Amino acid sequence: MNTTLNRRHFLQRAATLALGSSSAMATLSRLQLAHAQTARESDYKALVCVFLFGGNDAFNMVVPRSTTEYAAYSATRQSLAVPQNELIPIDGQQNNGAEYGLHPALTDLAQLYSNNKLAILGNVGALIEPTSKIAYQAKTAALPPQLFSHNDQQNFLQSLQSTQKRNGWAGRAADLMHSLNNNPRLSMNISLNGSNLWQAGADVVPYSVNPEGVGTINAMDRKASATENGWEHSRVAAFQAILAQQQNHILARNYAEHMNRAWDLSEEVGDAVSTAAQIQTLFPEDNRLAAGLKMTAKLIAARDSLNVSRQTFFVGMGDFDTHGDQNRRQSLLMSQLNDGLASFYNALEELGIADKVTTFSMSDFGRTLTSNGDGTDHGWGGHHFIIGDAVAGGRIYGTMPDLAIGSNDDMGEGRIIPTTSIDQYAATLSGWFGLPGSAYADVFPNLANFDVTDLGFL
Amino acid sequence: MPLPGDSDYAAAQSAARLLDQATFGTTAKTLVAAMEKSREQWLDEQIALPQTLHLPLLDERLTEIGFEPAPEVEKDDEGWVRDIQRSDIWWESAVWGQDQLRQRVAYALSQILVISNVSDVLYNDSRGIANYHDILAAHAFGNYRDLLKAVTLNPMMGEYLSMVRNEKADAQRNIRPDENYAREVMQLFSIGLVQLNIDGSPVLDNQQQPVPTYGQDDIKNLARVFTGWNHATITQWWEWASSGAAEILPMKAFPAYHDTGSKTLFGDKSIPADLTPEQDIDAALDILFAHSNVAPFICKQLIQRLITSNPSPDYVARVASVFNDNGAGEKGDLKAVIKAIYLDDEAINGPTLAPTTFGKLREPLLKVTGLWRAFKAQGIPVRENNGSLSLNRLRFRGSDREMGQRPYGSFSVFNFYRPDYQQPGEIKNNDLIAPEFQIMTDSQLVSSTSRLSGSIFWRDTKNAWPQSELTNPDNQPKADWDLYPAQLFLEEEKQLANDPSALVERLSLLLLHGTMSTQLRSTIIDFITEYQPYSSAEMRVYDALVLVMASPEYAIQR
Repeated sequence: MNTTLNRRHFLQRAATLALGSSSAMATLSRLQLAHAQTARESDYKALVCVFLFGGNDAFNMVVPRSTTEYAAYSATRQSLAVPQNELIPIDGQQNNGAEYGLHPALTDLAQLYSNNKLAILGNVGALIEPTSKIAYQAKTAALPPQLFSHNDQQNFLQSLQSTQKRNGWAGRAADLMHSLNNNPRLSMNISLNGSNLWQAGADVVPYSVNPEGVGTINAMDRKASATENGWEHSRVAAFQAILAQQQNHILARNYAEHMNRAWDLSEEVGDAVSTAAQIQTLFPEDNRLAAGLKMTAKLIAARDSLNVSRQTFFVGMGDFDTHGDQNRRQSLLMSQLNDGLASFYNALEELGIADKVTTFSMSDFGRTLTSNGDGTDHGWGGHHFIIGDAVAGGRIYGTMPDLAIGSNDDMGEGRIIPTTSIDQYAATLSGWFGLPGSAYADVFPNLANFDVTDLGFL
Repeated sequence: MPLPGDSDYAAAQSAARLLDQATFGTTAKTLVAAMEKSREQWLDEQIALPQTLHLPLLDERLTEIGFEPAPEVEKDDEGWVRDIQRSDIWWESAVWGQDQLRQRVAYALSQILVISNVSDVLYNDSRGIANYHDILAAHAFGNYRDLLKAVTLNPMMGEYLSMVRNEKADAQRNIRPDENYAREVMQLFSIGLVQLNIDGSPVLDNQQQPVPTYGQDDIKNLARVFTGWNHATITQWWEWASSGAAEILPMKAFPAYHDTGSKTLFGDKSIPADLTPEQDIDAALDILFAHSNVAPFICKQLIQRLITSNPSPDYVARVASVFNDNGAGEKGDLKAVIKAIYLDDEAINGPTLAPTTFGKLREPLLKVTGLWRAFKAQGIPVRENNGSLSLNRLRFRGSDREMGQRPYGSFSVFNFYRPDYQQPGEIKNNDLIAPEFQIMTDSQLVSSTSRLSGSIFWRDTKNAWPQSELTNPDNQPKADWDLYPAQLFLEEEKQLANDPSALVERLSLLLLHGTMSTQLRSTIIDFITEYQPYSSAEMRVYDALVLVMASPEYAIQR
């Protein structure tokens, strides 16, 4: 493609970005570094964020099964505890010798774990700086604002910004990296779940596509020819003229620009997806996560004709806010999670690209270990999965918490204080993705408060 | 209807603008009627109109298709069909109902006090949802404190935010009260997360940070207030009731499961021990309602839903002051608040005061109702589940798939979009809010434009097609519940088809309250004139209408 043009765009963007930076030259050299380090033909990588909306009860997803630890877990969880003999055993002791198992619905994910394709990151959550129970109680630790509030915590996890939300860490990373893609029209960041802060940059605006796919506009076929379907051809031209009209109103102007882009891309992306290799792997029906991941797989299959080498995808799944009827509802959720993630992994294997795509989970927060009768409330730390052939799987990373009520990990009602921060989690993922370390300070504002910046799971 | 140059054209523009803001869409008939009245007269007349009640209409429909309206034992296989009937009634009331202002305000309230049946919690509760809507509409011109209590005790909200069956702490079983409703009633329904000034701006501390309104201790205390409530139709706490009358009756107190200890909110507001469950709720809601945040928090969102995404701080303050005192010393009088919102100078003169920012993105559902109302949409018969052919139905259950939005179908209690959403790029860089942009995905822009185009090009027909027969030889109605939703009536427009300029002026007045730009006008006129020799009157109308509806000018309600 036209590399000269891309190069020029790259430098323009660098200049734009530098305006907001303390040191224009520093930013520029970082950008060039990013360019030099990662721009290679056929070098494709994608990060897929699976966001579990509502706050997943990860303490019932990865559960201690050794006697002492299970006893503490079961005493705390009472009627919510997953029976010990139903847990799927997984290898990998923690330092304290505890052993763990997965929720009984996670059969395929347990298999991926034993094949070393899936890693668990224990007790990760929103933190500004390392926080102990003592520091929490003495109010000496800086904390993310509005802990335990759904949308505030979603914002924090996606933006890592503790004050006014501005943009997301994938958005900031893409601001620095998107010139690596030789397609100036399609955003590096693609959402299968509508708008999200994670992928919004200062410069990069995510492209959002519904799982059903990319459609066309009734009675406005852009391929209508002037000679064979002159009427429709003219209608398309009229609508294009209307969209190109000068708009003084900011909202109208943004609508027009967005509509233009969406319409252009619907053709480009639609064509690319329909001509790419068809995926044979079966995805489950009636599973919103699977629908989003299936479309993600189709878009990844179309990467060559879309001419992209770096992509992020945001896929969501809702209903994790299990305040009531948790045992029944979470079993369904775990089963959907298992089926969706496993079929996605299989599809990537089928495409021969499982080593180039890393899928990871995030969620608003973990939940309380204590029960409100038949459910849980909003907690803090939780466990997460990272999946792919590039993952050093079959291990639990981070530090698993003590699940006894009143333990040093418990700030009250079994709200578990995270021992690993999302900044560390994000930096580890982004390092693999190709973001140079020199950009970390901009992308992960709290990372400098933690000793370890690479958690080692990739 | 008047044309530009007529002496009453300005009055027509002004009336059409009010109807755009205060109804589900302008019609020629309502426009001509509104021209005769002042804004205030029109508002007063609307407020006085009787309410269209969804629940009785739903029960009638359920009977018509052979279902028992309120079975005590629910049947899972009926749930979907029942919900289609409920959805039909929402669309028919919005498009055909007389009490337009009440229903539009109720729709705005349904995006603040959110319940949704996307989550399976409210699956099979279509009567409950219809009744919940009726409660919002009934209180739309009542008092917000009453509304808050009605919502708090409503079994749909009880199920959605798990207050139903919420019991006091039990050390034996190591359980404590559920915090869900306590949290969201503060965060979303009354005071919000941070202290607000009367103009809606956050109060900042000396480090320029917003000041939280409450902490975890407040949530724990409030969670204890909301203990001891269960469905109205049961006699023992552990009994299950999920259908029948339990869906629509306020929840019932079971004092043995209520935490009767004293509670404290915000450090110094106490609720004494040994109150009844209902007294406790009244005391707690009184404390929340007395908070100075309620007026700016609720009023700003109502203005955003009805008038403009970025009201000036003064506009919020003026409306919030009316919320705090309606002039007769009453706080929370929504009738006065709604009138204050519509009679404010900013609602009337916003496009002049802030020409580049005033207004809001027209949410997808309002685009559909705007089209259907302007062109007198008729429903069509559908083949119902029992095999019978129905009377005309206005059916669009799948609007979420194609338009990105469905009534009572948001993905969470946080509504379809957040009131503080900032679209990345120019909007955010100018520090503007644009909530509706949050669901304006690339796919949704294409699919919703396509859907409107399809509605226009293929639905103005005299064929009363029963949809099932057309598309589904097996007579399985589930696959085609909204393929052909409405039949437009475009006779008036067709009369103008040979005069493109007059046609476009009519569309401008109906859809854009007479503000169509010169460029948009000339682009459309040039196009339909070019094809006039080859096209029918119908097709010229379709072409003009599609281009107006798809235009960036129509996209923004101003």
